[in-house]
Amino acid sequence: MLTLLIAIPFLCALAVFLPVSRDFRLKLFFVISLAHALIVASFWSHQPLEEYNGFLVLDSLGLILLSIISFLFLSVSIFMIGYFKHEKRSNRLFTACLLFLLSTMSLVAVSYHFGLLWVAIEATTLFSAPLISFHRNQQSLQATWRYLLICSVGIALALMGTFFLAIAAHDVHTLLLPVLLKGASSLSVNWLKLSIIFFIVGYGCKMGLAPTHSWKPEAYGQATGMVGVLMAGALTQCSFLALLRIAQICNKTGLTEFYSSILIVSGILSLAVPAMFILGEKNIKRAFAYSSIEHMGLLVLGLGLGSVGLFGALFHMINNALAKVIMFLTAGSVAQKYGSTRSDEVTGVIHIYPLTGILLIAAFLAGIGMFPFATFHSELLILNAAIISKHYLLAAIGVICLAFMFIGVGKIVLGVIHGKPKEPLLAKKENIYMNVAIAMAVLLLIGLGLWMPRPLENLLHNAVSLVGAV
Amino acid sequence: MLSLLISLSILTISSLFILLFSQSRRISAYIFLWSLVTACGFGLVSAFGVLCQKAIVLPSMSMDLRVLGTIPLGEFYIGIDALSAFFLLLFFILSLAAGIYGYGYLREYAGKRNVGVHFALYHLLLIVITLVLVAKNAILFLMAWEIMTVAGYFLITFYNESEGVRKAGYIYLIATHVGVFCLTVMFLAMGAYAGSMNFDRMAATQYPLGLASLLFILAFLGFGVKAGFIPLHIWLPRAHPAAPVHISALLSGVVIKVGIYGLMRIIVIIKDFPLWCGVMLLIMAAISGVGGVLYALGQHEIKKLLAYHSIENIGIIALGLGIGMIGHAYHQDAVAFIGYTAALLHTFNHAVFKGLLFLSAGSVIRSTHSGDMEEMGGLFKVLPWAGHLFLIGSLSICGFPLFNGFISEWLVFRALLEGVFRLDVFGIIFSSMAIGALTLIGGLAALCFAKAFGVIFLGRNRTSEEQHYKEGDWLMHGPMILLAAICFWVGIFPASMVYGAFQGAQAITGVAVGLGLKEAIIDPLILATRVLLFGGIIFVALVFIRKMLTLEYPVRLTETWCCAYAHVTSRMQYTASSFARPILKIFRSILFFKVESNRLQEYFARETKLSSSLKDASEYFLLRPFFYFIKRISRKLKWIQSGHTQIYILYILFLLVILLIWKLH
Repeated sequence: MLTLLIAIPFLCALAVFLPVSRDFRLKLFFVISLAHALIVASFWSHQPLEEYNGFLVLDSLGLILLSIISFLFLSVSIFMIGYFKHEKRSNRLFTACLLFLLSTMSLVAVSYHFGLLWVAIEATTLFSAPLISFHRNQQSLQATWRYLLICSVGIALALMGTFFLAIAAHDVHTLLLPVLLKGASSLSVNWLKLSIIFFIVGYGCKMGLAPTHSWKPEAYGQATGMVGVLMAGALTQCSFLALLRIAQICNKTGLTEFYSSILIVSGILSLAVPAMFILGEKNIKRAFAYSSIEHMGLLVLGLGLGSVGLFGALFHMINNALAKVIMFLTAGSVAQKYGSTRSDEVTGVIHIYPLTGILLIAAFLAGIGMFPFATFHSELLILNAAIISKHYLLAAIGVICLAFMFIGVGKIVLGVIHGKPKEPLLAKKENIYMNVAIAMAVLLLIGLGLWMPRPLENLLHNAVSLVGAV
Repeated sequence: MLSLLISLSILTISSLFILLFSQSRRISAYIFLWSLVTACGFGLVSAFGVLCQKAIVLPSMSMDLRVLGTIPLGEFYIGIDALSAFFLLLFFILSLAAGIYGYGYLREYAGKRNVGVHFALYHLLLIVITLVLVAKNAILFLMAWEIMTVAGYFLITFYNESEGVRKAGYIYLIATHVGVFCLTVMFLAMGAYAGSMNFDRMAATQYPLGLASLLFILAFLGFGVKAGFIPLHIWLPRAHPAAPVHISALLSGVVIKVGIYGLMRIIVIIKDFPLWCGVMLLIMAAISGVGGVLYALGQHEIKKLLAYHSIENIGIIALGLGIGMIGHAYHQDAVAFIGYTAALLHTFNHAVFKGLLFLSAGSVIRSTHSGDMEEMGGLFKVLPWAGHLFLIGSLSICGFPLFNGFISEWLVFRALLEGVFRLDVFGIIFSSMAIGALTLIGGLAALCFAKAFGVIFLGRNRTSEEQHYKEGDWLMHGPMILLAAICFWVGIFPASMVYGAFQGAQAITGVAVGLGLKEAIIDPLILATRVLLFGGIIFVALVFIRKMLTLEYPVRLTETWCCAYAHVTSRMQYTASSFARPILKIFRSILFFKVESNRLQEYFARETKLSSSLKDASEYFLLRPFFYFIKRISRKLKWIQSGHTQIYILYILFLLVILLIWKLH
């Protein structure tokens, strides 16, 4: 089952290169995403068996990520049907890369071996790079190049981390997670510490934690909304899964303190840095990129703070992904209508496109973590974890940074929503597919904000106990 | 409780229907109007049910409603105690009046704009404010509070094409949202200490004094921003003029009062604050009161003037609250009780008369199409309804006897005097200083409304062109008359509302009231109003007799004698600026008062002009420099993101090295 999940998108990606029509590609992508989503949905009731001698296993953590990936691809595939009605450019490479990305991201979610995990994450980097430069202009190429370069450095460091972990695990002779956890006492602590540092810096680059975040505003600013969703919602969280896997080992070997102190520091940095730079920003997509850095900061902060915080962080993974769908898809829809997402070029959206305007408001509120969106709850849980564990200063800094993000993002987004309506250049009408794709995520996120279903709560609790945080 | 739930469900369902039918203006407007009336009716029933002891208490009326949800941390847990009921009372009265008025006021926008969305948001605001007032779970409170902020933003930015309105809305959103963060931390800290997010459990916990002080500071910041204490008030004088007038009334009457409610709720929960908290509140209250009225005096825009008066009145309310807290810290329950009663009653009264003032000012603005007082004048003759109702509101806000403002200001004085008699030297100093501040506030408020009423309604019209002023209709007069009637009612028969406030105050102190204390408070008040009423009746009778006697000598109407100057124009009269100038000059040392004038230097006068404006000190000396500073820092740090990939990679290396050194030595 797991193999199919990875293989089918991969084979279809190859099939996309055959001479088929544009519409066929879009439909194929939609069908594959839907099938993927259905298979993943079935995993909620029946856990799949492990495959390839335990290399591929789906546990609670993986299921959270896999569900996120599945939902994101589904909404992107619906959005794309509408988007390519107004887009002249060929979608061959674009669709192929998306399918490759789906395949490799699924691999990340189910790989139970640190080497395989590394390979999968490296592959996601490769396949996401062409997506950023979809528009093929100078800025987007530069952004792609920078993204590739910085993430490659990160990935290289993560490879070093993997090697050090292998040295530390000299006695158990494997990097399979269950074996490592069982033989935790025999791991060499010093090598493990070294590998942890390399892992955090390496995968942190991929997540976009400050100060390795610098590729983010440019890449997200240049990429189309759909790619922004997948990168900010799924790709970064794949790396977070890697950090969670490392946390499993750390909690088993008694390095919790060592690990969490680094995470808390980088979490706070990732909250503070975007708060500093958001104020001068004008572009919605770039603002959302800063918001993404901030959310990554919240994730690692939650992980660093332990049990209550970890619950919040895992919940935030889901909410963050949904919020990113709303944010980047709406930004993409605005970008297609006006050819820009700058608040000094686009104003009064709500007067011409009431629906897009409302979705933009939803994007703002969801991104900033306001009720009724579930991001409110997960941010609250993480803050609560900081206060319960008596990190009062941490809570204070976090709150101040969140306030600055609110001020900065609010200024840009509200400037675009309100004001004198400007005539749009490109698309005159709202597109139903695009709006449906966004509205799905809005409803889901509001639903989670009002009521947390029992299976989800159980899943999150299972995941917390799996990480074994205290 | 049951009727409150009915009211909430009516509001919820009807707001959905309004959205559904928002294309058809007539249907959505009817739904809005009738659902508003029925929902407010049910809401008032529930509030009265709790406030009136003698009423038959049905089991469904006093129960708490608790739905065990699966929201992390939070649950849906609501209940009405006397404090909530008191606020619900004023809330439903004012939202009813403002809603009906708003329906009448916005009819001129029919067809031009989607008013249905505005009405639906109005209902949403009512729902969430109700939830804030009855929430018994901190997370539920925060959730409702957040939506209240956002809904308020979209109601304020009704005229969002205008740059000024957008900016006002944005500042409102920022200010209140920053307040939310303070509240979040406060509730989380309380919850962490108490081990539960429910108010009951929180109230049953004893907090150490240090934590209580910290919580109080956070509460003061969080709720104070909403309530509009100086210097946290910057959003208030901007948002009020920007919003449509019925929304301003609601903001001023209810939304900022929710901040006061929050402070009172925190006092209920934490109970024992150190003395300095009360003293700080008293000082901030005095500053807000005096500052608010002085700034109001310098305003020539009618809604802005009223907005600053809201700050002043929040100051008066907080004087009562502060002396209550001080009394509690000294274990003088009588002082605390009277202080809280005064604060509650003034909250109610302010909601009523400020609502009245805003609505009648709205009638003026609707017919003159301008809020600038310098362009008005002589409107009493053409807009008699608005004029008389504004007069009633003005007399109430100045604390004129026989109107409701008098009753509550009396009680505040009473509480402060009680503080002078019963506290030690330290307490006496602060009480008497507060008495001084309150006296000053009263005098200046009277001056300010003499200015406002005089310039708007008396004299001659200042605009050059002939205008056809049209008065509103009964949809606009009705709500104003309702509010004016309440002003009178409370002013002439104070006992009813004072007993209501007693209930609320008792819910705050939580201890049994001393024997005969209530009577000791209320008897002189009743006596005084009786004497004054008697005097009033005699006065009216005398006026009537005079009129009868002078019937045969008709009054001659002529031009005012202007020292024999021949060409009298309507510009030759006191303006709002000139009226306020002497007083503002006295306070020049503490106000940032700017006068721009061209001095006449030749014998023959040429065209000249003079303008004065009052700059808000906390905005100009606190917030602007702060944001300027932040922006400069942000700009200075730009080099971090220089755009060179090599440097970015260097950062990664730095991070790695630092971590290696830090963690592995």
